[in-house]
Amino acid sequence: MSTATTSNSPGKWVVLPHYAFAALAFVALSILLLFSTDAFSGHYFHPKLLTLTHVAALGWATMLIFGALYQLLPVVLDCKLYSEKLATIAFGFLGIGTILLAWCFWNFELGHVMHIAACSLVISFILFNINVIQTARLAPKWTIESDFIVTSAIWLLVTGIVGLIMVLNFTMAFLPVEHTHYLKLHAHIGMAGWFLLLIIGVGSKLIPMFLLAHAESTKKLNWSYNLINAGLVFFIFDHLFFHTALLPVYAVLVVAGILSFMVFIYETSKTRQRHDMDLGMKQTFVALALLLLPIVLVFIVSSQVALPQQLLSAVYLVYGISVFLGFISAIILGQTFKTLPFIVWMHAYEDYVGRFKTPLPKDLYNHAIQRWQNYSYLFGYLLLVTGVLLNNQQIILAGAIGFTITSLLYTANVFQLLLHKVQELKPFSYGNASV
Amino acid sequence: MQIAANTKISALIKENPAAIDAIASINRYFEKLRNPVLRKILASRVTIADAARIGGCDIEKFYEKLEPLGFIASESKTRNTKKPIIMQTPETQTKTMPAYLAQLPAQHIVALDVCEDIASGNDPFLKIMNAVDGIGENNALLIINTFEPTPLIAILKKKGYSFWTDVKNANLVHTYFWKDAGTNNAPEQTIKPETGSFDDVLAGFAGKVRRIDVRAMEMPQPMVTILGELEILPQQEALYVVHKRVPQFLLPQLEERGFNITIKEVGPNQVDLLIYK
Repeated sequence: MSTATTSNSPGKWVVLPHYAFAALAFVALSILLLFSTDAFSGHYFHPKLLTLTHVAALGWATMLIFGALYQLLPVVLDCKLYSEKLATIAFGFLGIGTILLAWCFWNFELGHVMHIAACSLVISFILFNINVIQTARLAPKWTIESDFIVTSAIWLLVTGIVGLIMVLNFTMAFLPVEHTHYLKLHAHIGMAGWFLLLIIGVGSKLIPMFLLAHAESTKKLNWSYNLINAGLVFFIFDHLFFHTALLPVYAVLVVAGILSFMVFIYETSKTRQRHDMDLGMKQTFVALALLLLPIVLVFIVSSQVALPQQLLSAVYLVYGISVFLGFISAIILGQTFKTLPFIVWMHAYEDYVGRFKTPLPKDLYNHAIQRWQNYSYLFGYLLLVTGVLLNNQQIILAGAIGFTITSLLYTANVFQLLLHKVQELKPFSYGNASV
Repeated sequence: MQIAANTKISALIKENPAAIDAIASINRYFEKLRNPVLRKILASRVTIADAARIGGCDIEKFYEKLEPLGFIASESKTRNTKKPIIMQTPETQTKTMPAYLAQLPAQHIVALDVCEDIASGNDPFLKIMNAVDGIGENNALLIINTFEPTPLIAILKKKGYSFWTDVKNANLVHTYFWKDAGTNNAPEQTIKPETGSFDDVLAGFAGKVRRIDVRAMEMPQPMVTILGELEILPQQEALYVVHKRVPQFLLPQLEERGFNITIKEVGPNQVDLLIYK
């Protein structure tokens, strides 16, 4: 059913393919993980680890965020999406770029194909930025959530450009310092600038909405925004030009920003009118709890703590895992089932509401599968982290199996939603007009 | 009960079941209303004006028949600023097939016969809507029915479809729908709630207001509840909704169903909506 022309909501062919691609990327990620148990015993600069990170960051997380954002942006900003065509083209470039980049890293081919992949990704980020910024310009009112979202899009582009420069540096070697130095920059702009700011911006709007709570004030979000961006900017300048030992100080700024957001969520949730939490919200709060691990580890990786080399390498790996396979994956696994069912329901039933007895969004997917998805995820994650810390390939493999089960359950539910067909509806009968 | 041209037949029947017989006695056409199946399908989607046109009689005829039952006709609705959807009237109905249809090859016309469904008591609405989704840009859909599908025409006109009805006889009507490539580039407009007039409109309904609070409901329950309430909202009454925010997804639905809305921002977490015909 086509949406009414007056709706701010974009067409379903703009949004839904992102969810489909992301689910399949998550399956691919967990299968690659099964074949990468040997990669977790040394330095993080390893072809297989680079593949896993980029499939997780681009194919899984960024892809899903793009799709969800095209749907949510009009709701948050109260206006139409600037261009559905741009969104579709960006989807193509992001998809192709991700697949090519993953292939290049896995086989460690650093030539022209990788150049094409990196360019394709940067083009996708530019188009995404144009779409987000132009949409924001149409918005009747400007809020702190808009600040978070627009800023995060800009950081995404910066991350992509740094990545492109590094890809060119593989073959031309023009950068002054060793490669991993820039990898740290690239990774942290991506993690704190793109993912963290975006999740806070969207989460501060959605989490209260799903809890039927309301924010008393957004002052804490302003603090959160300023602290995280300040920490990130200081870090970039220091890392590029000054090389001081102040990195933990910048980490403190970012962590304070995260805590400020947490306090905002806590205070807001005190006003909630819903006290029962569904599986999607439980998983979301699990994700927020999992954020504590990278918050602790960031101080170890940013300070010169004297740890045995083997353990330090493991901590670096766990730090990365705790961000991409921990916090970000967990929150996607939860929020997918708070957003996608509603989107599918809206497109399928909006014209029938009130005229027919329609099912509700929560009736469109399988809750038992979702429950087992949540369990197997947590299991897989804990085993993987334990396996990496103990440098034990069997435990890492068990963790990868947990992730594989999770990804298959998740994908089964997502495709059940995507392929939903409008059922036979029974009209309401009114008063004596009934048969 | 006050009635007007845009009163739904279902509202009449709900108020007083005797209305069925009264309307059925207008002319042979309305005998169909005695069939409970047809009544179920049509009554909640057809207004007095639509019915009069389908049956080829005057609205006044309806008032005449209904007044003895205690219905009061009020034809002076000055409050409603929104123009009702203008339907073809029998006088302006063209007997000649529009040029677009005439040049369309037969294989581009998808026919859907719903007489069977109507006769056996299945509501063909869903079937038709699915067929409409499937016709694409270069085809036309032909609905074969026992009466002119007025409610359907209203919905599809909103969606930018052109239509042409060809009345074969009293029990056979062919209705064609197609996407008019020439006219669908009208600028898309979002429904613009009038904010300043909230209190004036509220006063205009003088207490005839049904009030619901949807703040403690989870998405999409507010929308489901509001649209459900509107289906059974008596004519001349308004629905007063206490909501947390301006409901983005509801606005297009209200417009499609011919409702007006005024909005009052009460605070950062409360907006009051007044929805009326």
